[in-house]
Amino acid sequence: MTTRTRDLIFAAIALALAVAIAITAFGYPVASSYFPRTLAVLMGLLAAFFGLRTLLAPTDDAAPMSPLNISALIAAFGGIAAYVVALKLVGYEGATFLFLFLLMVWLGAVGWLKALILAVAFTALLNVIFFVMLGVPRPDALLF
Amino acid sequence: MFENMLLGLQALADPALLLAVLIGVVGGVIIGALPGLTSTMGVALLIPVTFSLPPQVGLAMLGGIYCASTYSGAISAILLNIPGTSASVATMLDGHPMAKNGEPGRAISLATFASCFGGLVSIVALLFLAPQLAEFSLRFGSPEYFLLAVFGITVIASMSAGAMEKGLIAGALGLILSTVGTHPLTGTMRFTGGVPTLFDGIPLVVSLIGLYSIPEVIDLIDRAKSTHTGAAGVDKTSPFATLRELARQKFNLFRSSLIGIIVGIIPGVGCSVGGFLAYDAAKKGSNNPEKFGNGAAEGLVASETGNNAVTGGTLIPLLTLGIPGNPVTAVLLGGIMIHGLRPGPELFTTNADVTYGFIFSLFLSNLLFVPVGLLLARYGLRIVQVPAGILAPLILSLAVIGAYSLRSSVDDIWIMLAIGALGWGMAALAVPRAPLVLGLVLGTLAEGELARSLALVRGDLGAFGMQLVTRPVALVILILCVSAIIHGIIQHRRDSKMLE
Repeated sequence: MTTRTRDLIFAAIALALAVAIAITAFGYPVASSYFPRTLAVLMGLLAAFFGLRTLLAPTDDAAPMSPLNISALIAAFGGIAAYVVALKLVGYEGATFLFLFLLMVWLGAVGWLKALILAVAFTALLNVIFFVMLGVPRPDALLF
Repeated sequence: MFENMLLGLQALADPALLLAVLIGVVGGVIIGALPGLTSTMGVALLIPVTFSLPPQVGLAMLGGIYCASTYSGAISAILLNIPGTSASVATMLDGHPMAKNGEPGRAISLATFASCFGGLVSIVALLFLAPQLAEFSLRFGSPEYFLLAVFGITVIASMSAGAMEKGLIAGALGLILSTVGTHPLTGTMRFTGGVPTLFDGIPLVVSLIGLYSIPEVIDLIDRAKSTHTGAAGVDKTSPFATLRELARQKFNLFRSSLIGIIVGIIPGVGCSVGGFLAYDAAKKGSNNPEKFGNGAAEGLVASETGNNAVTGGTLIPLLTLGIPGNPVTAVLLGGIMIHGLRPGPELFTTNADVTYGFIFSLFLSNLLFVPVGLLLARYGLRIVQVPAGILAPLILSLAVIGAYSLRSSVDDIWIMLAIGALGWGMAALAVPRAPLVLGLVLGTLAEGELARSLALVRGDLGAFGMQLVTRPVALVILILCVSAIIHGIIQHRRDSKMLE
């Protein structure tokens, strides 16, 4: 992907988003929506202007970009999604320990024993800070 | 005013506040020294920790993180040539060559004491300039506050140098996201999709955690298997031996502090610019400009004094007018509002104990990061070399519990994840995130004050427009807004020409 393609993708997404927001905002009473209505129109105009400017710019300006690392993306988003599901099933401590241990082992920065110790220690630390010291209510879980 | 200051001084006798400052400073020094962890992320992550604390204790902790993390970016800049935070970019120019010349201990000591000096001078400025500005802000009504919010939003132009349209679009999106939930006057639900969690709007802290921690963790995971090698060792130079060296640079210290404070007061310019401008002034005023870039103490001192002096400067418009000067203070503004406080004159009268307690705690933070930073620097290499494969899971788990603890709601973790995806998308498409934060923070104020202003003139847009040009303070702010926009356009054109 080049910087030109990237900017065109951005302009298209921003324009689509602005149109969707405008359609929704114009469905609300005027007194409650002049602010988002104005902003949506402004955002759409800016996105269209930016897209046109990028299209009309000389193509030799486009520089190649480094490819996206999909595995890092899946690890972060998939990891948190699985963590939240586990949170509701096995409770905070179990889910946090599993999340930390598995992610550390998968990333390979430390061996399984060191990962085990770090995961237990950090889970205990977070538990003490948030639930014991700060009195945050523990999330409800199905099993524990 | 002095009675109020005494009230603030009394707050320093509170052991809980002292402990909070210590925790904030230790946390801030570590966060700042770790490349990839920003001051903004540090403050955002720890805001939930301050919920159950009294306001002055919670704010003292956040202030400690802000001051300490701005300084400690210099540690990794000097030792590894990687700026811990963007503030310490100019510090690398002479700090790392000095470390490579076998004097990393001297470099860190100079940076530490210079940062402390710049920070302390800027807090003195905050202490004596802020109340006057606050008294002036008593003349502000709804139209003026609306225009102030607009002025804050115009900062977007300078926050997105080289990508102005992208910055403006991100800012508009941030403003739109701030309208999710109930309208401030009519009570109409907007953009909630019937999801009860969104009825109160998108929580600012949850958004900030997602926006800043998720993209950085993805980057860390990406680099998980890379390790830093060949880093310089820390020499045995006594830190206090450098104090005499600093005493010979009085003019450099004061000039850099002044530059930093002025840069801080102007919204949107930032710590890194403060450091660069101070460095540039030191080089131009030096008898040995050829030494700059090769380990010149003057350059290192100027950069660190300048970037830390920005911290106090940014708090002046933040506390008096509610205008955040940079992303960190935008997050800090969220922290202040979460504690039920509103920037403006009331902060210096009704809430004087909290406000002055906070300001005096910043003195303490600036003094405390000296021993903490010097101690950390001894073990610095080990800390800055925490493998990304350990750091990434730890940050994610902290982000999850931070988002959950805001309202004890698992739904907030999903919101954090969604905003994190937005943040990642913005990073991938090279869209600046700071304008979105500004929009999120200032949107509620702008829409609320606009609604109130229009209600006062019964929805007559013409009458509202007349108010903006006939009220003296409103007119001045309007002129400032227009000049900020023109300046932004000129700067954008200049940046574009430079890129070409």
